[in-house]
Amino acid sequence: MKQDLDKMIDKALKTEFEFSMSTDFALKVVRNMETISAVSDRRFNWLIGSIFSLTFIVGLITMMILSEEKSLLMIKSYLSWIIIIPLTVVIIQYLDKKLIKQKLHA
Amino acid sequence: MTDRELVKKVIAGEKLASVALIQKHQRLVVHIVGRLIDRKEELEEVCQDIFIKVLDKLSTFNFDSKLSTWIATIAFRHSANHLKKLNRAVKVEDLENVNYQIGVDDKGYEKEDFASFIHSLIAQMPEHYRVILTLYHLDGFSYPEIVEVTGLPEGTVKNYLFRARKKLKEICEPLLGKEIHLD
Repeated sequence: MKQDLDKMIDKALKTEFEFSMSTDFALKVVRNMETISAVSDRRFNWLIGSIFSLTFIVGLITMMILSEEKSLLMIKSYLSWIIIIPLTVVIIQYLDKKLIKQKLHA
Repeated sequence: MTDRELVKKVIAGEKLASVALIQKHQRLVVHIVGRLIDRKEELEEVCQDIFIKVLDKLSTFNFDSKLSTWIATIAFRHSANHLKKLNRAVKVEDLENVNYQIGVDDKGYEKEDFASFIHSLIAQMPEHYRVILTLYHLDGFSYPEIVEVTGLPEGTVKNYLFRARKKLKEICEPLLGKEIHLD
């Protein structure tokens, strides 16, 4: 009788207990995950954009203060650099996305 | 597909691999969460949060242990934190202090209900006992794996398993031949 009880308890412990989960649970999780990472990507892009803009503005003001004209007219003498530097950054980012990141995910 | 291949594909951003990983370990996570969180309406939400954490941290998993053990550890800690936030922290109570609610009469004994009866008794045990019994018997975890998941010493895990089984036997023995009513 005691051996029977042992076996019964063993069997019961190995029996699945009832729980209800939606049938598309895994898909739901993946969709939520995608939404969360899209939001965090957007936040990251905003943060990087803000840092770049702030650095640019602070740089411009510093250059203005240090220049002889003490006005925004000094931009004229640095115009080529102001175009070249951001353009280089954009090209590097584009190539990184196209040539490296896409290959990593392929 | 091996866990290693699956993890590689999930990290590479394959949606179907993520779905496969969740489906493969869903049962294990539900066992742990279901044993710790009584409210059924919270179960799915907590399981979802656990898998989001798993997918998010998967790139840090370095196969020092089995993937299932790593996921079970996250599930156990997340559920414990969830209970803590709601002021229902996991308590290390003594098994003997529990007043077990059993519905029994003298009409007879229904064997097919025995598993449900055992599960209702486990649900009344202190949280650590519930998780250890489930991981050992239902999910086939070894002692070192349970140690990793719960953070309890191996001696304590063995002791809890022994005492929990003994308690179940003590309760069931006098009830043999009687009908058990489950609420």
